[in-house]
Amino acid sequence: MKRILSVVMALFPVVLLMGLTVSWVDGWPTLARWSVLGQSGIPVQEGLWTSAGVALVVAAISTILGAGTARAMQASRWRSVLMPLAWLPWAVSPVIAGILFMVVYLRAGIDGTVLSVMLAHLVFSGAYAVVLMDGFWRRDVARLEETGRTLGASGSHLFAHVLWPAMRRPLMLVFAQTFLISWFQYGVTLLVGAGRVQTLPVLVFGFVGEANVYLAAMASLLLVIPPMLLLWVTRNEWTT
Amino acid sequence: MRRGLASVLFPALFVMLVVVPIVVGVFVAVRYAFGWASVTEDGFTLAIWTRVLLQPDIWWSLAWSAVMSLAAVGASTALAFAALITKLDTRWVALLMAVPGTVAAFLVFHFGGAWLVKDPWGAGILVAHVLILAPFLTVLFTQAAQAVGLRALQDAARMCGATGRTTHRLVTWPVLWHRLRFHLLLLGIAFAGSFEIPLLLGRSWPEAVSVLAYNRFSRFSLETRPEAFVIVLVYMVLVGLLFAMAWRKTRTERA
Repeated sequence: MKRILSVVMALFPVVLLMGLTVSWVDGWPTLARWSVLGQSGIPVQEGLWTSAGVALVVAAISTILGAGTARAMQASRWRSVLMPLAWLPWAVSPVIAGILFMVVYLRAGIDGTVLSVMLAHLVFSGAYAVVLMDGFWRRDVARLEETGRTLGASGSHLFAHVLWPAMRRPLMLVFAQTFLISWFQYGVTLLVGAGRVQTLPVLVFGFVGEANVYLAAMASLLLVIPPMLLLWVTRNEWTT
Repeated sequence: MRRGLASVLFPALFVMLVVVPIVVGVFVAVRYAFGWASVTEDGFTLAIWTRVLLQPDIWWSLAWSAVMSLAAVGASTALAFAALITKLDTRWVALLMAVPGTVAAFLVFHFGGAWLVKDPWGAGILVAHVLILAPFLTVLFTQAAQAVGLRALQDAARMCGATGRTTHRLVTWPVLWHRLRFHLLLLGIAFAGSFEIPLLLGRSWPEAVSVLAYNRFSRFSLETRPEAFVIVLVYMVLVGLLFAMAWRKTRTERA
């Protein structure tokens, strides 16, 4: 019973959105409306690829940055300064940050570009990755590494047989979480992208503004389903 | 040598990519807010500050954002706690984390009707916030419960004769609260700066502080743009103080 309730709760938004995109022909639901996505002038496909490209690049850079910075901070005398700075983006809401960055990027001549959107997303994703990876390095990894070194393991051997197996799971989680941060970002994209970088969240709001419910629902589904699949595939990592 | 290079390179990259944009942004905001970069002012002035700070809008917006955020975190915490003690299947509940603020706002906007769209009590904003926050907190509570071995503590309490209710009141909740209060504060701060949900579902007065700053920034008239920077700076100082206090308290307690 509890599982049924959980499943119903989890799929409820998807069912609602799906209901908005179906059309009824002779009493049967069809997905005929989805064919509009292939038409020219409907930027949903383009938005999907832009969102995916931005989020993948941001997540990849954030994960590497988070792992490297958090590791470097463990033995650094600057740790007490750098660690609070990693929480800094929490003090700045995305739209507040968007206002700050927009002026800076405007002066740098990169406003309204995919690059500026990626740089803005990196502020949040990168900082979050550092916080997450800091928790990983602070656990028993340093001791494991020390033990390996004492036993005579070389640098590459240590990485392949000690660090990488221990890091794989946290790295995957950090990648998934930073991907989601970038994928969902709206306020900062709206401002920094200056309306020219059309990611899926920006499109959803645009369609709602135009009272185009079908396209808003379709773009919403494309926004929700990939992370839902990602969460389902990594469900054991989140919940155990 | 390579380790030495990495220990400098990564923190330097972190500072360049995360810290510098915010610091430069704040510098620019200060220049605008004090009239140095404003098109309507000739030089240093406190006129923009007095104009903004003497208007009730900013204070109402800050208070409204704080109340909405507190309500969202409170309601979501209650729901997540209920999900934990009733042992809902977290693997499925976690899927709701895939619903972003834009989609939550759209769903409430479309299905909420007059009760939830631009209602005077912010009920629509609250529902949309809870829709995205409660699943996240449910996962967070489950992870925390596993990390502290909550089940063993609950079993011990029951063996000592505590009822289910007493166990939750005196063991489950205090253990989770102690472990997660800093996270809850951070989520409160994050939701106080929420934008897309109040933008779509909120009324024009009072506006959430992010919406107020955005509207002042994006108006056609350039006169209100410096006001947006004053709002941004006031918000950042208040949130920074709150965060610093919480950070200090947490560190003192750990020490």
